[in-house]
Amino acid sequence: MPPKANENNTRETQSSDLIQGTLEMLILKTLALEPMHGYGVGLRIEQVSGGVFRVNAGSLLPALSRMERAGNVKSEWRATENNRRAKYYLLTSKGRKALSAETGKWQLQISAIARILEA
Amino acid sequence: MRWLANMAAGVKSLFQKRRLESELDEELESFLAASVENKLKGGLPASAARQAALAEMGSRNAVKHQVWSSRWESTLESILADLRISFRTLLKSPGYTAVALISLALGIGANTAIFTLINQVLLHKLPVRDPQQLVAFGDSESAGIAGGIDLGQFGGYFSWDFARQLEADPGPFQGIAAYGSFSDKVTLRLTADSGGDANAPAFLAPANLVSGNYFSVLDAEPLFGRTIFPSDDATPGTGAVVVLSYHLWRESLSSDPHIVGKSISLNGTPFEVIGVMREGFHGIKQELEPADLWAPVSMQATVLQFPSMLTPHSGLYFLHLFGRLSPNAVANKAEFLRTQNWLNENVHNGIRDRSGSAISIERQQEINRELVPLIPAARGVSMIRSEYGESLQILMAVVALVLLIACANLANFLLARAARKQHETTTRLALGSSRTRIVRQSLVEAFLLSMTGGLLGLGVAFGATRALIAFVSQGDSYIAMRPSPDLKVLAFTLAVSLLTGFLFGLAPAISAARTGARETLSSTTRTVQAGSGRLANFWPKSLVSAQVMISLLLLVVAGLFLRSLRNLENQDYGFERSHLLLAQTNARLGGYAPHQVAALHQQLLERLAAIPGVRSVALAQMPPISAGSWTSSISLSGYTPGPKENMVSVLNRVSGRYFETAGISIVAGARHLRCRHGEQS
Repeated sequence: MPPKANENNTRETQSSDLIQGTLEMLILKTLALEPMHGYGVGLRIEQVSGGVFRVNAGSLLPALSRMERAGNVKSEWRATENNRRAKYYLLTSKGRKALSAETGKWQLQISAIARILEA
Repeated sequence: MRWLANMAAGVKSLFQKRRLESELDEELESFLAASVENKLKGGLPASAARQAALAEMGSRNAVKHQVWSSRWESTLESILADLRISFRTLLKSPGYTAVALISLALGIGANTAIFTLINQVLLHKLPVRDPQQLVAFGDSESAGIAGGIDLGQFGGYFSWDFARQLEADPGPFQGIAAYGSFSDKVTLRLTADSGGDANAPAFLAPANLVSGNYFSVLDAEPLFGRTIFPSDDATPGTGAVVVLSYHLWRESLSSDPHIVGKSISLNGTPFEVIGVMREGFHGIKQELEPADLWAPVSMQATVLQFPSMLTPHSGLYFLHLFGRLSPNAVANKAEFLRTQNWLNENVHNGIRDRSGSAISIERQQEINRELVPLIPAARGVSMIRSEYGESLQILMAVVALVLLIACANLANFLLARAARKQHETTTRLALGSSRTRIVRQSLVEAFLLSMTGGLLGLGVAFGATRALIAFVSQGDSYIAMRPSPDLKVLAFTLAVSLLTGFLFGLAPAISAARTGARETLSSTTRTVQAGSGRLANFWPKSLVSAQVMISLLLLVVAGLFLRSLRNLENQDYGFERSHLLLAQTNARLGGYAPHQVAALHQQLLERLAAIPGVRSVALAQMPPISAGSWTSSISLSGYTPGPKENMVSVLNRVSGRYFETAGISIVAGARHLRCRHGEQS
């Protein structure tokens, strides 16, 4: 269930707290499931994270542009369900490789932090 | 390869900005529509949904700006915009810009000029393979024919037979070659073969004698044809071949492509042209007037017009030697020492061979103390370097200081301007400009000034170098230094321009970056603030003091130099310099036989004395002042010189009225010499 628009004081993490690399990793994962347009990616991230991460256009679109330049995603204009034109982003094979690399790095960092915190 | 595609995409987007912007617009529109749809699904009424979606997205222009800034071409575009603004700003204050450009052009131009000369005199390596392996035997700077000395003395004079011995058996060297210690001017005439006729005028060119293996030890390739081989140098008197320099071939032979094989008359003897060297090759000896042709040592009598010195134990030393070290000796110090010792040993044996039968103990010790040092000759052997090297380095330091003064001056100026623009800077910061952007614009303006100044400086440098070379050569037609810049000089100018721009652009850029921290946009800020008192005044004051100090220093030094120059020019050299005309004649080049010379001299004296306006005429072997001299040790009757006392004196051959003509005052003795012409005296 998407959170209501007037729920502003229970928002915990703003999208500006996401480090640039982490956002790209999340976008890659989202696109790994299926190609989506920009808003769809942001919506999916928000839904799956339970409202913790809300990414707005000002962070999402530049990130997608950077990833497109890096060759991890490619874009094409398609028709949405409502027969409107939207720019869909697809994961490339390079993007898939990048995703697994990033995920591996992330797991490493997470387990290291967990060990330190539990020590 | 990804960066290549990235670069291509960036360049494309720079040119298709409008199309991309409309695409972004469309994407944002669809983004908004999807957002509205989502909110409608969530149960919001239509108007509220649109409002919420708009509020969530924020300013659409801001989003577009974010996307655009995430790409590299945005930085490029903003730098281009900065360039345009700086250009317009500089044009708006033409006076200040002109002064800045002139001072930069002079400063950078002077540095480039001196560096051009330094590049050619001090830095230029010989155009041969592995020049770092070449070593000269002794400093090889002296030039002439010496007699009565030991092998290897006076900078490395050697005789023909000793040179041959070392050429044949070079020991630890890859090869040892010899060349004449001086390049004598020879008379050249084109024969019918090479395009001249019987009445073709003769021209002079400096020629250098070289051993048969000279070119192979240097490993210098000709432009076309071949170089001198050991077979050419095999027997004294044979091997009438000559290799030409590129300069001679172009200037005097009209770049004749079929010159190889043709004959050219050298001092009256036909020589065959066997090859032409590449441009810029002038042999191992870098002289101010470089050698234009090379002939084998075997042809010494013809080329030097001097009786043959090519006999064993001739006692005449006129060759310099150089060798190519083995690669091991270059890297390994021990190997180098071993090579050095080998040479010294051979020199000692050579001196002993030439010292007759009985050698006293002191003489033995004297011989064993003789050392012929191996001097690295990667840049050739050069008298120019030792004469002008230090002066050029001092000049370099001086012009560097001049450039620093110009930088300080401009920095101060720019700082004052930045202070006046505080209002503008604060406004820009308030409007949301990043500090980087402001600093960048300040630096771009400084670089624009310095690069333009550098470009103008190249022109100044060209003119200044030509003037310097004209001063040094004193009217000689062709010398080895060239005013045109090469790649190294251009790179130097670029580096200096960038450094200069950085030096004087940094201070105002930093000051621009610091504004806004405490300033407010109130009307009181309209006046130029002194800032926080002491600290803000530090830079302008210290820059001005530094400028004044260095300028004063340079002015004083320049004044002293000018005084010295003037004193030198007006110095009394012992002869009357005004109203004196000098002319050089060469009887043997003119084709006179030795028995005709006396009559020629008499005729010259009589005919010249008959010219109205001529007070007196004289002949002399050496003019009253000359770079060269004839020296010999003399013995005086009734005086025994002490041990090791220097009995060398400078000598001259003169005609009767020499002292009167030259205005040389005689302290004691006869004023007129009564000479008997035609007799050896």
